Amino acid sequence: MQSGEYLSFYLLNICTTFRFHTLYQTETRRYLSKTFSKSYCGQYFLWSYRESCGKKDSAHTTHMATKLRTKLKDVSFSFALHSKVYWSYLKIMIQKSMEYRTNFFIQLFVEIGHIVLTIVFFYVIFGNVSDIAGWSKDKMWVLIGIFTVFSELIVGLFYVWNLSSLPSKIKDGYIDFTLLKPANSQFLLTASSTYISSFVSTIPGFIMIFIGLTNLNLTVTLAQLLVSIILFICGIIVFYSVMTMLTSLAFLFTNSSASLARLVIDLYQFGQYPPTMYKGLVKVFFLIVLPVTIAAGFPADTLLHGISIGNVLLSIVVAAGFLYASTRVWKQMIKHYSSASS
Amino acid sequence: MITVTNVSKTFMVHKREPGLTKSLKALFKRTYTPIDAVKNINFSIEQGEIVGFIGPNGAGKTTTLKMLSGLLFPTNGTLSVAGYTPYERDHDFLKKISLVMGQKNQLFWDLPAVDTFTLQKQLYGISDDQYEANLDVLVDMLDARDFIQQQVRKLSLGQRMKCELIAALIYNPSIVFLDEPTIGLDVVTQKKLRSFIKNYNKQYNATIILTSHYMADVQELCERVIVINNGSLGYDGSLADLVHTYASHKTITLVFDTEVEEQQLYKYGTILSYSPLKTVFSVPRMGMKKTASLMLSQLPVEDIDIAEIPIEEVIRQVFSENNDT
Repeated sequence: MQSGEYLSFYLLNICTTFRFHTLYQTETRRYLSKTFSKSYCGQYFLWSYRESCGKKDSAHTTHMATKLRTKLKDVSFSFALHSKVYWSYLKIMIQKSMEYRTNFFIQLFVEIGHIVLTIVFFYVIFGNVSDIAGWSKDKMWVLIGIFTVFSELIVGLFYVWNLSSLPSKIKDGYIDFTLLKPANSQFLLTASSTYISSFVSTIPGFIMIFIGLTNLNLTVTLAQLLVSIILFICGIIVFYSVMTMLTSLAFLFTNSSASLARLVIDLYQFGQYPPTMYKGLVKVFFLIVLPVTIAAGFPADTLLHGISIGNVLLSIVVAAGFLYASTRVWKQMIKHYSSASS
Repeated sequence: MITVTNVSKTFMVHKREPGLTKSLKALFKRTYTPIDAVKNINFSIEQGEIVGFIGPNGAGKTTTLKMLSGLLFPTNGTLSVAGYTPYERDHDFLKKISLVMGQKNQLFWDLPAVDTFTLQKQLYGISDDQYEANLDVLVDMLDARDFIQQQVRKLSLGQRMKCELIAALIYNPSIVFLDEPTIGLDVVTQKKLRSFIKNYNKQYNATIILTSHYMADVQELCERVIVINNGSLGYDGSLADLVHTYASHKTITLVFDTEVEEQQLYKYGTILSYSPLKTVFSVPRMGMKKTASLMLSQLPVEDIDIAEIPIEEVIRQVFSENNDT
């Protein structure tokens, strides 16, 4: 190897080892080093990693492997438990929405009205504008369709019966019972209670996507569809995380941050415009700091213009980062919970 | 089972005077005052005990329960419950405990209570068989079969409390914290709940910690009481001793048909207040029955009322004694 390569390799190694030590669990470290060990580069990594840990014995390795296995078991068990719990909550929410009959039908009527109005509104807009930032009318249909599905899901899954009422629940001490449940408190308080009607409201979104794609006469491959769904989920995760982080400030400043989650809802309106519209610093801001373009822009881009590996990687990294950050912030904030008297 | 060592809890409360101008002022400048809800308390509780926490409003009972169940972080000191540190809220720990609050409910308001029970089943990961068996036992014990299928909002307060108890106990917790479980209930329902709590304690050897305003709750259930006032422990010991020392007397109020002279009444007990037609006595608990029947047979009694010394009075006595020594 040439000296330049050596140097960069060495720097990379230092960075990675450092990050391993600070960021990851020991098990993960072990797992990663195992995958690396197959290649020459991996051998080098493994060697330097072991050096840095000062442990070379195989007993340590087996111990770590068992630990990793139990950890994985724990994770899958916890996942199974939470999906069961989510399913129970979902059934309860459906029952709840049907408990009052008139209310249920009124809600249904409101949702149908919402569908019609949304579609009419965009028809009117596109009667006057031909393209936005290089995106034609039909492409915009797809984008706005995806955005509609996106925002309805965000509102239904996390906002209406979870985040919007969290500050008042904190203020009145109503989360006492929830905190004493043997399940993840973040899941229970921010994602468990679904507002079912939002699922109905996603229909106009699908109709718009359909209109756009038929007009464009585009054939979407299965790979494109799958990738855009993955990107879509990443977008949901990012927005959920941002909203959760902001709302969890309510543990600190009781009774103030319902409006903060609303702010996020307002901000993601930026997501209904083509990603190409944002330039320079604004583009970076909307990609990484507050990634609104990930929301609907990337999935639409994938459906219309094909898969971009860069976008996929960026989305996954950003989503994972934001989700991780939200769990950290949540854990910090919940320590400030002081309950309400009796 | 439970050990509490030198535990204190201080809340920071911001002080504000009433009125709009003061509100505006408080928007920019706030003064916080520390309030000691619990001051340096120590006690330990064994498995299977029923312990009564008594004290007036704001004494620190609920704060202590919340620290024990892991909702609040103690400002100072250490707590250990079933070998766990409560505020870490380890899932295995949470499966062992249960908190029931008479003033708050966890049941879904619009749905039958049974739906909350099934959710609990999922959350606590109980098997179907176990769930059915537990539900059966609890429903029988509480006589609740008729109304667990009804929407919670349509239940009476007593029925709702029974359902709350089922929801809280369906996973067989071995430590149960009951915060004023009988508040607002009529005497008959209170009695039923008490006997249920006693049965549950016997059947599962569960540790139960109960707070209440009602002396009757404590008397019927707890052999041991912890009296707490202004955040500090005043008494920790058997109820019999407490009653013997502090509530050894009852008050009897007599209303007469015809006027009775004061001299005639001296032999029955200490007179607290006298008027020819109505007299209040303080009578020793021992031999109270005999005194009452003597009064009824020998005096022109129109109405008789025998009352327990109010719990506040007992506590006041406990604390005045503590301050004296």
